[in-house]
Amino acid sequence: MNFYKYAAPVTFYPLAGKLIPWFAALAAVLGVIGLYLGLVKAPVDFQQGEVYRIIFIHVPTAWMAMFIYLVMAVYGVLALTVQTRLSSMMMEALAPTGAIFTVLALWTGALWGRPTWGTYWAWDARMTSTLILLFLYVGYLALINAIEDKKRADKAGALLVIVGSVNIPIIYFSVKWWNTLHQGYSVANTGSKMAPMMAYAMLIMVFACWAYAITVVLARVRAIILEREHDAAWVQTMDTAGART
Amino acid sequence: MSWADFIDIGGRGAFIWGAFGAFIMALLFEVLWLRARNKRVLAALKDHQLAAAARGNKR
Repeated sequence: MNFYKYAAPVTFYPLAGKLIPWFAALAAVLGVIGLYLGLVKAPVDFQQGEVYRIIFIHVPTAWMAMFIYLVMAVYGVLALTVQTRLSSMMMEALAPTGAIFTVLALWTGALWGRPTWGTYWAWDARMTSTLILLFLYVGYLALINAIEDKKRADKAGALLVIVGSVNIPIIYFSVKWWNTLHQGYSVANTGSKMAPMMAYAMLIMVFACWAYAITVVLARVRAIILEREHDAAWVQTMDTAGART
Repeated sequence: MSWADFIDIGGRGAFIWGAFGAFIMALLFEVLWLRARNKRVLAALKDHQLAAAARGNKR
């Protein structure tokens, strides 16, 4: 199977349309199971009490915030080197979802921090670098929308994302490199420090967030493809009544 | 466990539901925002196709 052919918007558009319902269903099923296990089945934490349940959304959203940015950086490299049109479109489609996950990571972290640490916010390395990640997402979206020439906007955006990707290892290793208020890794190469039910619930929520992100990003990139390629012959002859994104 | 206990979650309900509520609302907002955008894009494309067809008929 030649995967390179899917680098072209004309072939990627129908493929994305076929994948969306599957990932949407997967996200819904995993989300319901994960929330049920996290809110009902997982035991109470002996140190933090009930409030620890916020990790079932805080950890997945924080991981997605970082991972989506890394994927954007990979597409940024492709956009600048191979110059595939779809790479820039994918970056544009990923950014809003990444920004939403970053906001959620900060928000849920604040609501966890107040009862656990006694404060909603502290300027420690993990929290501050995550806030910088949000600024990078917002900055990227502002930049590509501020430049009228789409090709120039894409190049500038790709460069910003690639340079900004230095922040991802800083976020990840901040709890190791600096003495932070934020706790260390809950899941590491050596295994999880959590009870099995807690770990299962969290991992299921991680996969639910993955499936959700893939669904919305594919749907958004389809819209972006139509916006950008509206003069292309295949878009001009497309049946808009049958096209549902 | 009663519903009241479930909502209260050991006196931490405001924090926990504040987090989970924001999570659900944000994802729902994104889906609705995306649906509205897609609707707009398809409507614009339809107009574009009709305009192109009309130009073609004139020739």
